[in-house]
Amino acid sequence: MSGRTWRFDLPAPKSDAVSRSDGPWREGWRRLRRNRAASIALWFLVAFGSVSLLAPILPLPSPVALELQDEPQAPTPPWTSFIEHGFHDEYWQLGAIDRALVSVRLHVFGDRQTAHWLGTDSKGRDLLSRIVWGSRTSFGVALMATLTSLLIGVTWGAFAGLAGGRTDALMMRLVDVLYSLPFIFVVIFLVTILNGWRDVLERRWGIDREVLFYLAIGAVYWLTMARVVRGQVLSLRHAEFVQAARQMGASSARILFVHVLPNVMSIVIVYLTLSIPAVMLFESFLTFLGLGIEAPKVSWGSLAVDSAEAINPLHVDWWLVVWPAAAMASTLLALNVLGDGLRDALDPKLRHAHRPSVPPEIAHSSTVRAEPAP
Amino acid sequence: MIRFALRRLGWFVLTLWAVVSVSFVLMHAVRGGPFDGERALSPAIEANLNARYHLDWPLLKQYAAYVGPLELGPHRAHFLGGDGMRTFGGVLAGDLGPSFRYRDFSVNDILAQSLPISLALGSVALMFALVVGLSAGLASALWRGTAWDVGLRLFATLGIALPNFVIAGFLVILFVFLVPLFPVAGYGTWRHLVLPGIALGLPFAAYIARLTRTGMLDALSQDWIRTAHAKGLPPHVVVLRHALKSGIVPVVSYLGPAVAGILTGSLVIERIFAIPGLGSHFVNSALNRDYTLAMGVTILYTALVCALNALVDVAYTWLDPRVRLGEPS
Repeated sequence: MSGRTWRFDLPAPKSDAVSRSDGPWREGWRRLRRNRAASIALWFLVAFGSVSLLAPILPLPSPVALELQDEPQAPTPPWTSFIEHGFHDEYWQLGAIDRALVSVRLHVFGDRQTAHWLGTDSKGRDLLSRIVWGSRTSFGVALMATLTSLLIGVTWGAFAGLAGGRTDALMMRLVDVLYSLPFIFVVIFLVTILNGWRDVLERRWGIDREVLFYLAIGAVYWLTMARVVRGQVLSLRHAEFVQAARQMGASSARILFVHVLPNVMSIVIVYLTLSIPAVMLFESFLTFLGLGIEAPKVSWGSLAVDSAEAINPLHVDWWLVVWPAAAMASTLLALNVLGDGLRDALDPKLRHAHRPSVPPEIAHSSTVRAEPAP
Repeated sequence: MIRFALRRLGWFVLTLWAVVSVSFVLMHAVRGGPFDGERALSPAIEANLNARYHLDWPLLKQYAAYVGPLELGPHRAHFLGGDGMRTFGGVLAGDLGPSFRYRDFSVNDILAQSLPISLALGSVALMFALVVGLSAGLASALWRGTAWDVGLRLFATLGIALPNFVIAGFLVILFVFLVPLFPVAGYGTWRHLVLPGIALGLPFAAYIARLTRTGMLDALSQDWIRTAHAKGLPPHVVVLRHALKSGIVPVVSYLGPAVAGILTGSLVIERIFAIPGLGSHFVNSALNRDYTLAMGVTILYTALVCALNALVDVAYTWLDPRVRLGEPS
């Protein structure tokens, strides 16, 4: 509060350049824009994300309507047949918003739909539509799971870092022990167990399987986040501006929320971007094993299951393998590239000297029992 | 060193104990017994089965029987093993109990059969990842900025982004149907392990290549490398003897997670290529509520991963003399 009055005593910055380069976020954004690969990845993700978000109003065929036939249809490129009639309004249980969007689509496009540009699967379901609708599911699971892990990880890490001493050591030891567990087993255990209680949970609390699923993933993905945040908090705890705030009588909560967490945010965002593709992979992995998203709902994992089934010695339906793989690979690639770009742009280690620099041993390892010199 | 070993051992035991207890509780929290099948069993048969495997005991007693070679009186669990009636010794005695589903096998028998298969697959994958990853990383560090470098890096990023079952699909199309070199699936000869090994190892090869590149670039810019050049050492000696040793430190620290990841990844790969390893057993056992088998696999994996992590820590000191064991690591 008194920081303000001090500011007024300072001479106003003269050069334009100084006043413009003050915000670390703006600076990070500029750095990101200068990174060609990361910008392309960002635009790709924005484009793909909007298609996936708007899927219900796009004139796509239904992702679940069956057209019974003996074998999958090969792709018909858009230039041979662009639009056809015969849309079936068939979906799984959609949310209210999606349902409304679908009815908008029905009013605008009627029973017109895109022809099978990418072919159909063995049950005659349109592949393009399945990829787009599947991306909604996969993105959704990834986002929710990452947010869950963010919530747990940041709370745990910040608390350990601020508490310090024995509490910190104990909390981080627990993280170490959990780290040495084979994760997939924990998740498979969790998912199987939660499946057993599924009907009860659904009836009593309205928690469906998907929610359980991302809670389970989130519950095991928070470890890295906790370590990173704790390392940052530990090094910020003795930073000059935090000590100054403490001298001025700021409460612990105020120090945490106003001074420490905003400084941790950049590295958290970097890890968030990098863990979204990891969670998406994990989702498809679990769905592949039959533990994730269930039919009729589509996710990229279920597409991978279909493509694994499409490989048989009689006839290789290449489109069932190539298109889902291409969609998955390009999205995950873009997310990874963007994450790397964000790390370069926001990493405090690389920024100029006016920010407290964090030695990597502290930032990335919980085992360094560091009490940084004041 | 001895203090380090003891400390490590302590954590190892603690971790294993935690795994055993937590998975025991979790497995017993699952609704539905291990004998639920398509047909409902008559209550009498189910009671008999439960009695035979001592599922009718109180949970704590079951836990004690599972963990330790404690004397629980004449009512110790007996079961039909591979070689007649046996007494269940408990985890501490190295006995993981009878399998609930594969009625005539003990968990130890199943693990003894499937572990070598998974280990063979895992080592093929790891060797592939190391050889390909290290050479690609070295190449792109030495020819930094050339088309090779850019190509290899793109390939590496792609390898990290693609799930291994998608890679497996492409490999099968390429090397089984288009160019028939390898069998589709199954297990038996070394040829059965090539495709699964590559599919399993490729993402890790990509990551190792990335780490090697960064590590080597970092090492090559150090002063002591300039000194080595100035001494007149031939370039390959400088690169392979001096720079590589510090350049691969990040790779070594990645090996622990990589091995864990390869073990995990084999869950899916074993399923795709129909390899009767540990991974397929685990998934099936979790789905079938074969408590003892699922817990046995988990305990085995945890032990493997912990042991490997300890090995990695030892390897550190050899590569980087500045790291000391025994300090609050």
